[in-house]
Amino acid sequence: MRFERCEHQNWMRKRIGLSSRLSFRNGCMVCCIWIFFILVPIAQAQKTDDPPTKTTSIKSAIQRLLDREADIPDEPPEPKRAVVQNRFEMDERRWTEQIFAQLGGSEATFEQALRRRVRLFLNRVDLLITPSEALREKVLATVELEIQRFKTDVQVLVSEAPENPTQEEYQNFYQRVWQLIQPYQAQAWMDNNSPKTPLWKKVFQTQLSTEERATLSAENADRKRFEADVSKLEVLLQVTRRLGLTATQRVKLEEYGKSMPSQWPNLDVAWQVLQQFPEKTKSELFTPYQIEQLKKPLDRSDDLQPIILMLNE
Amino acid sequence: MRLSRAVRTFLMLFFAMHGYCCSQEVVMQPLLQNANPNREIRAKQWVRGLIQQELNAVSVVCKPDAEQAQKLVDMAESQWKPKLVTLVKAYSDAVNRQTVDFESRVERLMAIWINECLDESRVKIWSEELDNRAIFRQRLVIGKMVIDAEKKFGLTYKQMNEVTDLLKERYRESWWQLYRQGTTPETKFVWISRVLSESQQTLGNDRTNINRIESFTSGGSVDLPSKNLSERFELGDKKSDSVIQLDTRDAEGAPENGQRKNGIDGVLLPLIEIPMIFGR
Repeated sequence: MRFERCEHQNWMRKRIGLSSRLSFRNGCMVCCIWIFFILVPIAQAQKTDDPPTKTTSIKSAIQRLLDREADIPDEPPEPKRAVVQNRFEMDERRWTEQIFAQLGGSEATFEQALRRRVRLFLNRVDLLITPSEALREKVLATVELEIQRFKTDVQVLVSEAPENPTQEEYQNFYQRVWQLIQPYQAQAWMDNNSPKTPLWKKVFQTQLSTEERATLSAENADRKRFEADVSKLEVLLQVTRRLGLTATQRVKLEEYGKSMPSQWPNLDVAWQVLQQFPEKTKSELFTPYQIEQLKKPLDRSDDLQPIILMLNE
Repeated sequence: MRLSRAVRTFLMLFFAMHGYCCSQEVVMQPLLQNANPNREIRAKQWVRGLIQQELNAVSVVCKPDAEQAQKLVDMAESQWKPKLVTLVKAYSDAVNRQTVDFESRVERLMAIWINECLDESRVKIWSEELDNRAIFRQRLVIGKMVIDAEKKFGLTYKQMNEVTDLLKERYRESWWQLYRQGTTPETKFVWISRVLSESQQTLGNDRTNINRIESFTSGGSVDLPSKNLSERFELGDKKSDSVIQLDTRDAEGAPENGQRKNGIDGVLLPLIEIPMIFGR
């Protein structure tokens, strides 16, 4: 078979219909378009006895598919296969990396952060009680010891880590990892509310006189109060935004918040507290419109929340 | 002859592609249109809620007379939509609410309306109210920055107060904007270095490997007040004139405050349909 000239070109040249002899030349654009966009869809539509329309809906396509499925006789059920569990590709090195990633990045970053934290502490203490040079050195040595101890603990823990664990194994082991890193995490991220007093701090405190300890304790209380006051302001701002408080109302409510500091940790709690105010107090503090608003629950319409909810479902 | 062939080829290609694209139109349409009309309604409700709050505050703080109140409430009702159309659009297109500053826009617009509707003494009273708001915001933002600095530089309580004063001198409105978007502005070492001890300065200058997590605030996490599109603005006992038409076209389909419709309301659904385009 020779493909010197495409058939449609013959047709165009002679201005007659298709000849009886079909031929096709590779690379003929017009023929390609005919085949892919006109002939193939028509052929497919004829197969399904459904004339092709431009607006064939997805639903009807699915229905046709289901109909075809229904025509196929039921096959005998396949024997059950063993459930293949997904496994995490984890080894000792990766576990170690993951642990230190939780503590600020790498092993070196963690060490620097801890040393920095101790130096910050000592610098602050210097301005209050002037500790001796020997005590400073002792504390710095303790932190080095603590770092080494932690690194050893990590090595021991990682040596027991399951290699390529399943989801369950991973979660179980991660709980152990979490227990180990939790006390250090707050230190690494410069958080003052560490759940456990670090060893270097214990060493420092044991070396202080009663007066020095009292001075530091008062200082800590002051700083915590400062933080709590700002946190209360934050809640008050949220209440202000939600209820549209005026400056006078805000001052009154701020005074009220000072008398009950524990009841303003966050907006949810504060909102409940405000809802439970006696009617008399409410009418003193708020306008009727605000009292009506206060009856409504807080609607947290975080834009991402519906998507997260849907994905969870 | 060649030209004729080219024209025929072009026409065939055009009609083939046109036919193919038309068949996809049903699926593509939601993607091309506004992604979520409910977001627009939501934004309008928030805007109206905030305006109503401002009107309530004006009523309490400025105590306008009957004529002024009517003028102000009518102005708000007739102008809120054209004046804040870009804000509503911005929210419809935004990824989340924190990037759209509803409060400031409404606050500024209300100040303009008050200037036009109230007398000078009442405008002054409202101006003082706005100043108090700004001071309150400043206190909060600076407080957050000082706490952040305390963790970063190891400040004592006395130093914290000194840093507060220094930051008050440097305060900029952009800090509030940062806070509102959910981030605490960073306290720069150079701003506060003069209240630091020598050893604190040495450590403060050493910036290697500091783990500073952005101290995220709750600046935008709380819902704004909401008002239905079918309810008229009120100021004291005055309601907006019934001659002014309300924008109630979307009011029926709008989610009420405190309720949420199931699903994503047009955001995710088109995304689900995308694979079907290619699967056909």
